[in-house]
Order: sequence, then C-alpha cells, then structure tokens
Amino acid sequence: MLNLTPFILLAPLVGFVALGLFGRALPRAVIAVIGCGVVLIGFALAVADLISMLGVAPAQRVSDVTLWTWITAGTFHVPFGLLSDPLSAVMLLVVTGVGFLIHVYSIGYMEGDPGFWRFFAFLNFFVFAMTLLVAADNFLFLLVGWAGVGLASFLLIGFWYTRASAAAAARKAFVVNVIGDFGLLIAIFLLFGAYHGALDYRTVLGIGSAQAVAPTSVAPGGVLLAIALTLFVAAAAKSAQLPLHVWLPDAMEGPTPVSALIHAATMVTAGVYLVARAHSLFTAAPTSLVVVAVVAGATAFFAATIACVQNDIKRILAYSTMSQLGYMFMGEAAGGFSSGIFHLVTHAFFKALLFMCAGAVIHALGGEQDIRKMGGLRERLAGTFWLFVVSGLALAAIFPFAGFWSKDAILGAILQRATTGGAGWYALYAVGLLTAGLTGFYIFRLIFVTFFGAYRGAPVAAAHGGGHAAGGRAGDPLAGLHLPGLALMAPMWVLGALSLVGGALDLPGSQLLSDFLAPAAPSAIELTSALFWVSLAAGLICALVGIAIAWSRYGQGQAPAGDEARVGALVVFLRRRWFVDDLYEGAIVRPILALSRGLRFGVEDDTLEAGSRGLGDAVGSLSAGLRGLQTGFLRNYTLTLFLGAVVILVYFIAVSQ
Amino acid sequence: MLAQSPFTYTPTGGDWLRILPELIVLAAVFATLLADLALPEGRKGWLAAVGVVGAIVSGCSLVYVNSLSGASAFFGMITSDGVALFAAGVILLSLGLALLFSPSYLARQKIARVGEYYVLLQLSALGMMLMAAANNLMTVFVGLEMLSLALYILCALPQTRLRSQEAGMKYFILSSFASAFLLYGMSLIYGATGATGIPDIGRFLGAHQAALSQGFGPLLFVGMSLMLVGFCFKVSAVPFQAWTPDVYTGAPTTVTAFMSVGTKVAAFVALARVFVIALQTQNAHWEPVIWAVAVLTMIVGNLLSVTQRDVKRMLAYSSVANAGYLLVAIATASPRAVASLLFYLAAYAVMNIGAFGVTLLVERRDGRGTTLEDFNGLGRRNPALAAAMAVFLFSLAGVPPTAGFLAKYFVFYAAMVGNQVPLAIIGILASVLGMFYYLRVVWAMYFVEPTPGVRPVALPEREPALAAVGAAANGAREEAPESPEIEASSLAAQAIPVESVLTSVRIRTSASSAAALVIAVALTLLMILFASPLDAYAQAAASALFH
Repeated sequence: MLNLTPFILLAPLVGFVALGLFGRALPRAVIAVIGCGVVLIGFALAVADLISMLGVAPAQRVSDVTLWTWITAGTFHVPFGLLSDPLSAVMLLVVTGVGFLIHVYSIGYMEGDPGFWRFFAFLNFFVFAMTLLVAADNFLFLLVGWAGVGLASFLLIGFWYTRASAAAAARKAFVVNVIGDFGLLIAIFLLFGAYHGALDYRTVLGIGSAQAVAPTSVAPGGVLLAIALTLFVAAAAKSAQLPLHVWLPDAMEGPTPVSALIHAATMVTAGVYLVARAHSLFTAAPTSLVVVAVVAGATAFFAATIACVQNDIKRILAYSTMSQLGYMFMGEAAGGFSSGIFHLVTHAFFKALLFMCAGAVIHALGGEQDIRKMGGLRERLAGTFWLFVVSGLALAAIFPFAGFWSKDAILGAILQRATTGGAGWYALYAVGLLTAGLTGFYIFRLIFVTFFGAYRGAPVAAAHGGGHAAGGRAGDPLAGLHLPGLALMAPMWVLGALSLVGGALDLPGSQLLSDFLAPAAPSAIELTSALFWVSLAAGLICALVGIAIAWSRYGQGQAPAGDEARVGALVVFLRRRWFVDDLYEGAIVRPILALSRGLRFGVEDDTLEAGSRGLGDAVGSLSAGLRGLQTGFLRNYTLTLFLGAVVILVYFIAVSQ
Repeated sequence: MLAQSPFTYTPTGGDWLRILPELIVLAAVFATLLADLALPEGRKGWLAAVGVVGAIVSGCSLVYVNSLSGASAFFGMITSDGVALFAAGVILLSLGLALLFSPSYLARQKIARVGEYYVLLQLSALGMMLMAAANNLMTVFVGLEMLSLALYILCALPQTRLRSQEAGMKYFILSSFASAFLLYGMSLIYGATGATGIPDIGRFLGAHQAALSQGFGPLLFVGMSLMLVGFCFKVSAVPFQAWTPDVYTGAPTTVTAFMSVGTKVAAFVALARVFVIALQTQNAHWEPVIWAVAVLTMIVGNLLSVTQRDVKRMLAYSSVANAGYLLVAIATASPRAVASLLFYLAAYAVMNIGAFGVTLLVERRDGRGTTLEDFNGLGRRNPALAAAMAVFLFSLAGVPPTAGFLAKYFVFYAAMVGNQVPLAIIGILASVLGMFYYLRVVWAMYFVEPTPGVRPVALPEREPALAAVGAAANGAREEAPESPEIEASSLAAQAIPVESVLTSVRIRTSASSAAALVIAVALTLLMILFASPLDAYAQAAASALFH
C-alpha cells in the first residue's frame, strides 16, 4: 500500500518556508499559485493514498512509515513516524481538500491586504501542522501538531494585529489552547507511565498490530479514566467544548477564510479526531464517555441557544460550530465514532461554505458584520443567497442535504445507545432533538434577516477598484456593492455541491464511510434499522419546526431588534452568553491578576529583586577582586605556576606515604 | 622487557597509511611553501586555499584510515584509533575555518610574512594531530613541542604590534617552563614503570600494584603531579591559566581562534590518554586533584569573564571556563565521559572559532575595537553578522538546540551517571554565570543603539597585560607607535573624530570569511541532527580506548 504521507506534509511546509522567507518580494500571482498549489499537491497525494488504500483488503489498510528516530534515551524511543490508515486518510482529505478550496477563496478575499504573502505563509503552516496532527503515529508528534495548529490559530486570529481586539482574541485563543495542550501533555505522561515509555499508536491503541493489548490489562481503571479525561480536556479546548469554549467566538476577529478553515472546517475538529483515534482508551473507561456525553450535550444546547440571539453574522456561525462539534462528541460518546467523523466531514463542507457565504456578504458590504444592518440582499447577491440556503439546509439537517444524513446518524447512535442503557441517554437524545430545532431556527433567522425584506444599513461605499461594483440607479444604497469574483465563487460552488450530495458518503444501505472507517473507528448503529428511520423522521420534524418559527418571525426580513423588548430577561441572559465569560473574569482572571500584583510589588520588589541584585553585586565584586591577580607581570605568572605545582606535588607526596 | 640487542624497527607500509592524514597536511605545508615562492605579493591570500584543500583532503583520508583494521603504528608510538581520528577531524575542521578567516584578516591588519603564517598554522595543526594520535609519552611531547613552537611565532607575528610581541614572549617563556615540568614528569614515570608507551605503562601498573606501595611509589606520584602541572598549563586550567588571557588577547585573532580550539583538542586527548588510560589504576590518587582543578577552573574562569568588557578577552577567559567543563569529563574518567569530552571538543571548535571569527571581523585595523561598545547595535548595522554571533554566543552559553547545549548536556550527564554529581552541579551553576557575559554581547548587539558620533580613540581599556610591558618600555605604552600610519590616524582622530565613525560603518565581509561563518553557524545549529551518530562514534572510540 502506498504511503505518500511524508510528501503530503512536505508540500505545505515547503510552501510555508518559501512564502515565509521570500513572500515579501514575490508578486501576488506567484504567492497565490505557491500557496494554493502546495495544498493542491497535498490533496492529490492524499487522493492517491486513498485509491491505493482502497485497493487492499480492509484489514491491511494500515501503513506506518518511520522517517527517522527523533529521540533515543535509554529504552525510550520516539520515532518520527507517519501513519496512514482509514481515519487519517479521511482527515487528510478533508484538511487538504477543504483547505485547498479555502486557499483559493482567500485569493479573492485577501486581494487588497498588504499582508497577502504573510497570510498564505500562515495558512500553509496551518495545513502543515494539521496534517502532522492527523498523520502522526505517536502521541508525542500528535502533540507537536496539536501545538502547531494552536500557534497557527494564534497567528491567524491576530493576523490584523494592529487591532487591539484581534490581538486580545489571539491571546485568549492561545491561552485556552495551551490549557488543552497541557491536558494532552498530562495524558502523555500518564500513558508513558502505563505503557512503560511507549507512546506509539501501535502499542497504545493497537493500530496496525495483530494482537492488540486491551488497555484494561495494562493499567488500572482509575489511570485509564484519568488518561481518557485528560485527553478529553485537550479535545475540549481545541474543539471549543464547555467550559473551554470561550476563545472560539472571539476568534472571529480573524479574516473570514481563517474562520472557515481553522475555526469551522478543520482545526476545531481535531478534538473529534483525537477521541475517535483513541476510542479504545475511551471505551476502556466507560465513565469517560459519560463525561463526554454530558459536556457535549450541554455544549450543543448552550451554543445553539446563544446563536439564536447573536447579531454578528460570524459569531452566529461560531456558536453554531460549537454546537455542531457538540453533536460530533455526542455521537462519539454513544459509541458511534464513525458517525462523529461522518458529521465532521459533512460539517467541514457546509460550515466552510457558510463562512464563505458570510465572507462574501461581508466583502460585498465593505466589512459590515451586523445582520441588523443588512437585509434585502437576495437579489443582489443571488448566487451567494442560494448557496447560503443550501448550506443552511445542510446545517439544519433537511433531507436530502449532507447534514441530514450525518446528524441523524449521530442521533440514531444515541438512540441505539439509549435502548441498551440508562435513561440518561434518552435525555441526551432529547437534547439532541431540541438542539436540532434550535439549529433550524437560528440559521434561518440569519438567512431571513440578511437576505429578505429591505436593506437597512448605511449606503455602501463604492468599491475601491470599481471593477466589481454593481451597476445601480442613483440613490441606491447598495450601488457600491462589491460583487464576489470568481476566486470567491468557484470554491463556494464546489462546496455547495458537496453540501448537497455529501450525505451520499454514508447513506443507509450503502454505508461507504462507516465500512471504510470500520477498522479505525467503529460505528454504533446499523443504519438500516427501523430505529434509525424513526430517528430520522424525528430529527427532520424538529428542524422543520425550527425553520417554521424562524419564518414566522423573520420571514419578511424583520430586523431582530424588537426581540429584547419582548422576552427581555432570557435574551439578555443569552446575549451575555449565560454569563460564562463574566464568570471567568470574576472567578479566575481578576483573582489571578490581584495575586500577581501582590507578588509583583510585595514579594518581587522587596525580597527577590533585592536578593538577586545583591547576588549579582557579589559576583561582580568577586570577579573584580580575582581580576586583580591578573597582573600581567611574567614573574607573577611564573610564581603562580610554581606555587600550583608545589601544592599538587605536596598533595601527591602526602598521599603516597 | 627491555631488549638487550640494539633496537631496530623498520616501518611497514601499513604504518605510513595510518598517518596518512598527517602526511597530507605535511604535503600541504610543502605545497604552501612552494606556492609562496610563486605567488606575487598581494595574491598571497591564495595560500589559504592550498591549506584548505590540504585540510579537506586530509579530512577525507580520515574515512579511509578509519576503515583500516588495527590502529597501532610505528612500534606503538602512534595510534590511529577512533579517538585520534575524531580529534584529527576536529583539528582539521578548525584549521580549515581559521584558514578561511585568514586572508582578509591578514590583509586588513597589514601583517607581513603571510607565507610563514600559513606554513606555521598548518605545522601547528600537524603537531596537534600528532599529539592527539600519540600513544607514547615521547610522541606526546614531540607533538606538543611541534604545535607550541609554531604557535609562539604565530602569536608574535605582527612585528610592529607591541601586544603581540608581548603575547609571544610570555607564551614562550611560560610554556617552556610548563613543558619542562611535563618532560620531567614523563621521565619520572619512565623511571617508575620502565615504559613510555601509554598501554605499557597501564599494563605495568596493573600488574605491579603491590610493588608500588613499597619502593617506587613516590617516584610515580611525583611524576604524575609534574605531568599534571604540565597538562593543566597547556589546557589553561586554574591556577595555571594566567598566560591565557594575555596571550589570547595579544595574538592575531585568527591565531587565537585556532589555538584556543586546537591546543585544547590535542592536550585534552593526550591528557585523557595519559591519565584516564595509562594511569587508570591510580585514579583514586589523581582524581581528587583533577576534581579540585576542575572546580577552580570552572568557578574562576566564569567569574573572571564576568567583568571583561572586551569581547576578545572575554572569549579568552571563557576558554578557561570551558577547560573546566572538559576537566569534569576527565575527572569522571568513564568511557562515556571520554566520549562526551570528544563531543564537547567538536562543538566547542565550531562555536568558539565562529565567535572569534565574528570578533575578528568587527576588529579595527589597529587590532583594537573589540569592546562591547564596538558591538553596540551590530544587529542594526550588520544583521547577518550579528545573527551569526548570537548563534555562537547562545551555543557557548549552552542554550538548546545548539551544539553547545548538547555538549554540556553530554558532559554533565556523563558526570551524573559516573558518580560525579557534585561536580556536575557545580559545573551547571558555574555555567549560569556564562549566560551573563555571553548574552551581554547579544544584548549589546540588539538592544543598544550603535555608539554614535565621537568616540575617544586610542584610549585602550586599562589592561594589566600592558602594564608589564609598559614598565619595560618606560611607561611609554600609550605613546609607543604601533605603526607610523596608525599613529598618524589616531593623532588625526584626536583632532578630528574621524576614526569614531568606524563604529557605525558597515563591516565588509570577504567571501571566504562569509563561507567560514556559514559553515560554523550551520554546524552549530545542525549538530543536533547528527548528534546521535557523532556521539555513537565517540562512544565506540572511547570504549575501545579502555580495552
């Protein structure tokens, strides 16, 4: 079986290095070609890998290449190895495929930005780090990729670093991500102890190994639970689950392609990937899956409620992403690991498309992100509108769009789980259905408010280049609309098509994806069972109800301004995001700042500073004193030589007696 | 054991093959001499190319010699074992780098007799290789004298520069003194054991433990102590380090760069062979002395570096401190420690020559101008040069992932597992001081504005080294013209501050110097990539030594 993974990694790395070093001097066209080209190469290689993988029997679809040994310390070896198996193949296709489309989109979106080269260099770096994350064959290199995507995220959120809000958001994302990295690190330490220094997937997870060792035979249940939970801390931080979600909405300060690539399609799904990858550890500690289920269900519902009242087009999508990630974790918690990955894939299609559409709207309106100042864009941005609707239907899980099949696979998995154990899973299923309704509501609220009714915003300034400006009669506030160009629209059409038919990957009856993933990520549900059809219908009905409510309230393009007056307290509660950010501020940030100030002025100044300065002074004067011995006179030097010789001689004579 | 019949030995072809690297360097010396006759004045820089080619060819021949079976040559006088070859490789690398820096430096410093310079530099390298390959006390001494004699002359080569004359003279007198100690010690060891071959001494001592405690024990101990004094002088260990700063500061900087590395390689390998191998059985007796010397050297070397404001002089003191770390490996005296010693020498060679290399580019025509002030704002004026210097300094300070970090790690690790934990702790604490004086240069380069406008010229810092000469020259130190034109320029500068502008002038780097810097930076940064094979080779070589 072919394993081209090293080259898939190499391509974006080359792009990053080339653009990082020489990008400043290159013309834009060259930057765009390099930036997109390397990702396209990566995608082509990933496709080649997949084709060769399909050529062999399912049981042999694992290939592990070791490029070199990175660390050897006693019996501890860390090879730099890359794994190619069905799970990583799917992830690589998503990362490079959707990544490539977003790169193309960025050419149009970042057209006039002076940091064009920097942007593509960072994007390529992100793709490199993400491919490393999904292709690593041991936990240590997983951590390298894990931290790498965190860095890429930091750089790209803070891309417009002169804006204070962007810099603050970047910092916040980084801090929360580091909490996750720390969780992963602790998990690695625990694994190191439990598996006697082995960190490779083959030993720990039994991937590609004929006789896999059951985790329960290696470590006691408590340790396994700790490993699974710390892994989930890492996953929750990366995938914005409660309570480590606070960075994701703020991350929307980055350019929209970044939101699409990192904060919707790929990076945030790293946690979902990790749980699927390490599913043998999670299933060995069943309690951990309950924790995952509770957190995921809470996040899905929590984020969906907030998305219902947001007015920033990108923030709505950010909360929607959180909510959908919650779904994926719910599916995994119920044992439907392949369902989680299936939803990850379709979500990458339609959420990237949603962000691209939002970007096209923002671009058209010259940077406006508040949906209250939009409206009536349906005819002017017809293409964008229809794509928005397609992706919205996919998100809301309406038949036959991609999200319908994947989300309902998750709900089906939960229902299946519920039939075998405890009432708690029924509650989770109920939360899933409720959230499905909320999803339909908030996404169509967004669409109706943005595209229907009349335009409510200020007149749009004419396009700087004038090239994309729509013609219009005088006095038309939308006369200066910047129509999206081909670079923006082409990737959107591709993703639109995928959002429409992406569900075909895993239709009931054919189950292409679940079968393909079966060796790497088990599925929980027989997708043809009657149970599944019931679940499908229930999910669809909830979503349709949600859309119907949205239509009744915003169908004529009403501005959502009137809401607050009507339902006051609840909306305020949701607007303040359930006061979670305030809780963080009061319970963590302020006390730490106060403590730091106390240490800085109380302890540092008076005690430590004085001590270290004293130490420095002592060293200085000692040095100056010793220097006095260095007289420069030959006779003195000879004397010291002689005295030294005498001392040594006397010592030896003394010991010889 | 001692043959009664007159001794004859006929070298075989194999003997000559084992000293092939040395022979190639010798051939390059002859080639340099001939080329010196042919090349016109002003094109003598090409002599460096001859030497570089010689060093490269010789380096390639190491691979061949490594593939030969057996090591001993010339009746056991010389060995071509892994340790010798490793050391030869490091010496040749240092030679190559020093040669690359030389042409432009010599031209700028207006040093005459360029031909002799290149010949002597290569001859001293030859002596170093010989000393590192010596398997007999006699060859150790011959190699040592060969390298020292060449270096005495090299230090004093700038004939019109008082400081260099002083350096050469001091080095000559003190080093001869130390050589006498060493030779005397060797003769006493011969008296005690009846052997000069390093394995023979070890074998004899192993077989006659009981006899030692009676008759000739004192003879052995006195011999050991005198040899120790000699070696400690050569590696500039405290309290025998006094010559180091004065000589290193006075010598032409290319020479300093080369000798600071090369003599250390040769002397430490010889020290390891003599003490760790030949006197292995006496370890309990000499170990405390080396221990004490190592501690003193690390502490005093680092402490003295702290107050230096001249970068060249600081590097001279830092070479004392580094000798201390290397002595830690000697005191540990395990195969792993000897391997770490070799690795340290390799890392030290690239980073130290590199640091001296940048310093000599910053240096002014009159051989001064290497103070911290001269490095102010170098990051702005010469970003590439400053970046290279920063790499070397970080490496010297032992910051990962540079070569210097790995080297320190290996040495201290070997000490930890070799029951020398206190020594490792002292070493680590002492190297903390290194952070201060190395990184102070980085700070000057990047965080201080270039010294603007007027800067008083010809007011060298108060150097005790010169006081001595000053006394001899009737205190006419400042007035003593180093060369007529420099005198003129500095006089002019006192009237009109022209010279001061030099600090803000871009430094021109010749192609060969740039190449040397690139190589040194690359090796310093990339050594981590081939650390495993390098360390594995050193370990294999070191354990072979112990058998």
